Amino acid sequence: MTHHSWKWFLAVAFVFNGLMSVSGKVLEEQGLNGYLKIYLISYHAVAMILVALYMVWKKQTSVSNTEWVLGALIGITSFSGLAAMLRALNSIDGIFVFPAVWGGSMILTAVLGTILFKEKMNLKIAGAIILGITGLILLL
Amino acid sequence: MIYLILSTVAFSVSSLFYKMASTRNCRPLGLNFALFASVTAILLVYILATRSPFHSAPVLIGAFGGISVLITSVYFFLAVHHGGKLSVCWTVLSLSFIIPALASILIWNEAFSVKRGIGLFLIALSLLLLGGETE
Repeated sequence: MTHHSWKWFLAVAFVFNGLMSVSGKVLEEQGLNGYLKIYLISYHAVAMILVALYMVWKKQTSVSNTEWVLGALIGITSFSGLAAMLRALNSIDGIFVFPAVWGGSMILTAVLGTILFKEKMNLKIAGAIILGITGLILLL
Repeated sequence: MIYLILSTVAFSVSSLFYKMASTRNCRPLGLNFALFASVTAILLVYILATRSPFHSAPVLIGAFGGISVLITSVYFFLAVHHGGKLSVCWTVLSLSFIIPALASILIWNEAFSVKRGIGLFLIALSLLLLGGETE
């Protein structure tokens, strides 16, 4: 794979990240919302097994305490976000839900980064936040 | 709407934990294993305790989602590892919301208008501006 450029790798990541969200939409459109927990455990268990196999292949079989704590915190919050996004798809159009969640969370992260981590808030970031919020209002 | 707000907040908090992990020398494999294993364990206990109904289709759709998220993680890491700037890669990845949004219009015939088109454009522009500022 080393002959590929970073843009090619990023293109693959872009497509599969989009397809991951599409899988949630498929669940909703197929009327399988009642099986959300089954979808979510399958999603996480398959990813866990594949990561475990890759770790064995790479001969990295340990997980540090910090990785366990932060991994669990990331897992619980991102799982909650995914579950809530799929619930939102029950009553709101996907054309609003996906941009609102992915765009909105990046905007909110910028705001929280400024508040919690004292990251700089310049005119460009402020403008981006205003543009994003305006975009979300127009999507409604 | 409450689920939409909860989802946005939860993903934002998750991003902050990611930032925290990146500053504490967490290895991507260890972090991802802990992430998927902890959620799998919690869901397994919950499903067994509540005796949730089973259906094979959500298992297949979920497996596809899990494979997709893992391919995303691996190729994102490779892109950064092969010279991609983290801020650029993260921004491009965020813009992938356009794929499910387009699928909603083209496959599931959701209503599209000029107003919504401008909205999508502004959000994309906002992410591009934010991406240029975050490293």
